[in-house]
Amino acid sequence: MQFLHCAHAEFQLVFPRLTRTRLGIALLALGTTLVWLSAHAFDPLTVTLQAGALGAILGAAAIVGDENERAALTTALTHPTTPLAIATGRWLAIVVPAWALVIICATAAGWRTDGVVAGMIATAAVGSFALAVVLPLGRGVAVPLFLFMAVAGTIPPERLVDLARPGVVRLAAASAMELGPALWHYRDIATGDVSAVLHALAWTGLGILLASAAIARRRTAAP
Amino acid sequence: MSDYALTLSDITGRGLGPVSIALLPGEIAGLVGPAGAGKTRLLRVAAGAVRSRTGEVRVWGMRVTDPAARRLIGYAADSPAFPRALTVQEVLTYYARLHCAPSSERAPLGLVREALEIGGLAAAADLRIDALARADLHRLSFAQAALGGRRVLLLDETLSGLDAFARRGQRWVTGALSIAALIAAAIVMMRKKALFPHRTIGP
Repeated sequence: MQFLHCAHAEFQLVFPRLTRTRLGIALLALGTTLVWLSAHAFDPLTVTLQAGALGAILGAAAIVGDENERAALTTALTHPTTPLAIATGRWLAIVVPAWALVIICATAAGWRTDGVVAGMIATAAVGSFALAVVLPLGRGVAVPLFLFMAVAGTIPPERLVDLARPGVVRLAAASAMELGPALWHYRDIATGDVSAVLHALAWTGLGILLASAAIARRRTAAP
Repeated sequence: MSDYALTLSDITGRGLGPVSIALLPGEIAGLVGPAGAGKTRLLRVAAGAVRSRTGEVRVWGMRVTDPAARRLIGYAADSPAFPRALTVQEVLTYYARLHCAPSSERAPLGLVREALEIGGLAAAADLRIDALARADLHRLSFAQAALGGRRVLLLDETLSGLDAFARRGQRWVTGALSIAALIAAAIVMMRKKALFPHRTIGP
């Protein structure tokens, strides 16, 4: 119960952040761009996947990327809360606006229930991964993550690995693309692929745990 | 339950200690020392914000890492950091919600009102953090440390940046909280020895 209260307290900070930081404007710009692209190039499934994943990365950059936000975590830890509750609440604050964006974009681009479900599950996984990466490394890392997810992450690894030389690099790139969260993988959720769903759920849980460990490190670091 | 409000036993770390301190209920101790002596580090260890290499910190006999102990001990940092997009009231409401989580007896809004009064921030409640002056940030840091009826306060230079009037006000509030037994003990870190601590700790 204490855990849920603390996670909820973290989540409630999302509303002022949406209206008073650039997060709201950035999500609006992303949604507008994707809806425009849906009329010219993207199919509705791609739009929902991109809206969720890219919206989650923007959310992570705004909610945990700022240096001041990360420094404030140390103060939060002197109150009765836990790193896991903070990580879970921040994850919710990242994915809920991105889920709203998925629904808005799906409505505008042509509603497909399977596509919306895939978009939401992809959002959960990418949001969790972005939280785990941006929280310890800062906002700067969100830019390459955004570009990867928008471009390379949509292409199946077998089409990309041939470009990588030498063989070791190819193996590393293929492994990263197979194991990491990527939209080419999560497209299959729309067709009912259980392994893709499990992959996304595994990243959702792992990302929150990694973020929680990163928050806990702020307290346990030896002076 | 221990007779001591706060005990630090054989604390060591990088350039720190070994240090042992015990504070009685109602006692206000001042921590003084030259720059780099490890005063801030010691307070952070006492607050459970970082872990020491050896030794342990107990608040009324409970380990400081215990969530129940964190309900009792408040820490105001030297360089306070709060989410910039939020207002003073929102920041305090966020911390108040963490304190009100386990019981419905205390309402967050009541704790926020109390903290605003303790910090002297009632007039600045609707100001955003990025619009606050350094002195107001220190007041907010003091308010969040005292929020929720904390019984041990660790104040790291919360008087710095305040004008003489505000300094006197905060000393008065700290003293009054101690006399009223709203707090049981406090360590206040200062650049120079001041008059209001009952005891001064230094190297």
